[in-house]
Amino acid sequence: MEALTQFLSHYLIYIIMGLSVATALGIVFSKNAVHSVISMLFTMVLIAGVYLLFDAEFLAAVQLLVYAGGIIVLFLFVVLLVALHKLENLRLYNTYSLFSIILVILLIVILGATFLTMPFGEAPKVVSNIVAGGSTEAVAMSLYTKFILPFEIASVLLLVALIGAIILTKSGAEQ
Amino acid sequence: MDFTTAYILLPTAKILAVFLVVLLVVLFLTYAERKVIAFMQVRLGPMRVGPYGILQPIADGLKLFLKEDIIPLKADKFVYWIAPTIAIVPALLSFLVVPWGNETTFFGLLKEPTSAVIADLNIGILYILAISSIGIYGILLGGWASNSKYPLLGGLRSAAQMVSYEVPLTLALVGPVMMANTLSTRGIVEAQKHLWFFIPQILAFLVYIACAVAETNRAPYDLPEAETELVAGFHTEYSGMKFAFFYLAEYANMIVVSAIATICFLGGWLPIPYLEFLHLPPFVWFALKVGAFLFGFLWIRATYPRYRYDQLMAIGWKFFIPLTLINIFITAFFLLK
Amino acid sequence: MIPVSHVLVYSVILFGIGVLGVLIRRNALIMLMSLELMMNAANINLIAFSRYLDNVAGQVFAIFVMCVAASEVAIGLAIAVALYRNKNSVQIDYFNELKG
Repeated sequence: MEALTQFLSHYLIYIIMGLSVATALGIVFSKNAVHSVISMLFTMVLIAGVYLLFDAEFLAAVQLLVYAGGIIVLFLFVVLLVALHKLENLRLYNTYSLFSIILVILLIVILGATFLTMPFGEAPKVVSNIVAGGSTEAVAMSLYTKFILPFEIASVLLLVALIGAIILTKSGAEQ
Repeated sequence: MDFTTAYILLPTAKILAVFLVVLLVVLFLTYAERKVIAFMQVRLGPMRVGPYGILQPIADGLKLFLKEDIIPLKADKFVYWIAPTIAIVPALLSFLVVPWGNETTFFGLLKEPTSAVIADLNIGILYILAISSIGIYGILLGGWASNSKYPLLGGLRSAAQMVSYEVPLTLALVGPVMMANTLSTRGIVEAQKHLWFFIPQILAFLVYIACAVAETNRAPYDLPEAETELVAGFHTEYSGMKFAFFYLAEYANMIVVSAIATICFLGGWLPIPYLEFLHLPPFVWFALKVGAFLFGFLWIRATYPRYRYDQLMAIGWKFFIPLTLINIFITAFFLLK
Repeated sequence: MIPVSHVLVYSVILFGIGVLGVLIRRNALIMLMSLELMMNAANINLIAFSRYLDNVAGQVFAIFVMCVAASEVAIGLAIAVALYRNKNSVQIDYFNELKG
């Protein structure tokens, strides 16, 4: 029992994090855009795994539904539509890529060092607000009472995006 | 019950049992499909291998296993290889939350009964929907990686169709979830002790069946593999075991959607009203209901001609989605009253 | 549970990879994907802190972030398709008409 809980709470999350960093690098450094999309799919699934280990099972399911079920399919669709073979002989990276890489590594090192030296408290062993009755109920109670106004605004935002996407992709002949 | 039994042996036994049953059912579902459709068309179907051709699926499996694995010349090898895997893994993972009974002792093997489901997640239904949405990539990527025009067309069609029909499918399941007040699959079945949900949720039930057929790419919505126009759709270039994986995934998905329909609308493992005196074990009731759905799939395939693609999209977006939304409003009205 | 600082470092790494994608790639679609990655890095923080502080608000905010991400992708991809219609390419350096 001890060994398994130890594994689940300590090492599994590091393994998932490492894998997701590797697949995230795959998004940026793949030559073929379809490979980028596959890397992104794996990244999103692994991030859903991270959510699961933080007792956010509802968010993990939503992550899978929204990203794997919707967003990445859209990406793949557009990538397949924009004839990739025409892009094959183009340059993949910008001219100042090396400079950008150094900057980003600096960003990660500085921020990472700051976070590692910050005194954060320990995680509570028992979480009462989230897990009681599952995170679904807790999220729903909060979403429909305290955050009802942002929730309504989010729905309007989605509607606007829906209409905007339709108008933008309509071809000139139909307008 | 000590730790090893509770956390290692028991889950392993459950997983093995479920997957063995699923694979066997898939194997003989292919046989059943050929037989049922043959009888509906006044033919005999497979008759050569074994009595009444009962060993035909095993012969087919052996053939696929031994067949040469052809990879098209300009195919993207990595994607070509990974696509069948992406198709089959979500289909099998969905069975994690399918309950076949309330509690089981594995025919008296265990001293104390254990829950008859591999994992009773409290997001059960949502989990199945989330996992099964990944299956689309297998088809879409398989179609693209073959580097051939018919598979690409089949893959694109199929992705658009599955993404569109996932919306009414999910919305149709909201009704039962609202009535059961839980997302857990066991909880939903237990909430149907007095009244199966397909009576108050008849609208959602009918929409669910139609969308389930579309979601599994079965006739009359089998546009992704319309033989007459697209050869075999997304798996035209596939052969051998990779083809078998796509095939397995399709049939496993059929069982998944039938199992969800049984859980959400037909009372899962609960006995059929007025037939309780038969005293059948719960998993038999469950199997009977799922079997009826599977037969329905074959029946529909033998009966209806294929839809046109624009009709398919129009009916999904303009008819099924509004209908499910109306159903949610009606359900909410009666629950709040 | 692992220390909070490790989660923060992890999300900084993911965020950095996202920034890198936007900075060095020339394909508009991959830049959009990197944007999504940055949003997810933020979401990881929200959900981790919701666990560590035992407060469900973090998860609710993550849902709003997902809403924004979804609408952003829908519009972004629509723009990418419109650009592809005009110039037959999604390489961003072809779109320099506003350059003075």
